Amino acid sequence: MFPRLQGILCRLGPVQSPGTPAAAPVVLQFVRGRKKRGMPRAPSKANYVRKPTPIDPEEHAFLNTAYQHYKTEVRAVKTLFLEEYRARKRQEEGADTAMREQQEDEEHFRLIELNRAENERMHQERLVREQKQALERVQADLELSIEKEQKEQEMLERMNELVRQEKEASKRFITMDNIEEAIEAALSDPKNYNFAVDKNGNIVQKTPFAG
Amino acid sequence: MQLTTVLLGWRAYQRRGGPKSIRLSLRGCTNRPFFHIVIAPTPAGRDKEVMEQVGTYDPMPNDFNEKLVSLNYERLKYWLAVGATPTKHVAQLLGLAGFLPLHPMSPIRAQRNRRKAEEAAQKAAQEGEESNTEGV
Repeated sequence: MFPRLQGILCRLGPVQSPGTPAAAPVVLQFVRGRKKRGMPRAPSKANYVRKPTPIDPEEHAFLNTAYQHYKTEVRAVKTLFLEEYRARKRQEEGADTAMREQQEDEEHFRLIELNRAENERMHQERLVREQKQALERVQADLELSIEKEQKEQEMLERMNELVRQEKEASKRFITMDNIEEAIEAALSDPKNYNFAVDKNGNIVQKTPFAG
Repeated sequence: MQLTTVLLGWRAYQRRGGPKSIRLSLRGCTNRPFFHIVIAPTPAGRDKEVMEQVGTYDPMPNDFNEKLVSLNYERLKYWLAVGATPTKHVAQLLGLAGFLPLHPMSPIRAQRNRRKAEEAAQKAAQEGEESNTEGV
């Protein structure tokens, strides 16, 4: 019922409708759109009857038979083309099959041979490489065991050294037996640490021993 | 240069089994029509999804008043054998070329054109006479 409004924001060309001013930024167009399918015919067209297309009776008569003949002929031509195509296909396939099979067999055996040769070569390479690796491994094991022994030896020596040092030091230990002598020795031998050392290493004793 | 849509994937698979037409596809540019005679799936648009081109048709007559047509008869044979349907215009062209039988509409069209030309000539003659008599 109400016409839809459609606005065009940008006007690049000259004004088409006479009523719109030149400087208007938006031009409104009333758009009717398509009629809904349930709506009835317009009253001006309610009693409209279409005139059938004019047919020339001579042409019509001619065309009726002419079309039938034409269709028959075209059908025959199409069938002919189909038969030719099928015959050609059959011929091509028949000639090619044997040749193709032979070629495929040859190709197959050639590839199998190539593959076998390649595998053989790789196998030989692998054997050589593995032997070399085995030898290297044996060598490495030997070296490792030697190193290990050496380390053990060094360890033993260090331990022995420590033990020896301790034994040496234990000779000067003060035990319950030596305690009287040690005390007397210490008392009778006073040490004076009240000295200074200059840069050249000369000891300068200024403060005397007290007590 | 004309761009064609390429049939890819599922669409191509769907179109493979459907009906095909031998018809004219409009190429060329403004004020210069030119047709390719083309094999295409029938429901596709006029210029879309072309499967193969099988000829050309130039509707503008050349310097010798000829409308040139080219046809690839081998491929046409294949497609007709497989079941492609030529449209009325293409069927008429093939009939005039002698590849298919003559289409029934060709003589009808020729007759109509002839009649129109005669009427136009008569009208021109009458107007010429009238203008002569008017002058006198």
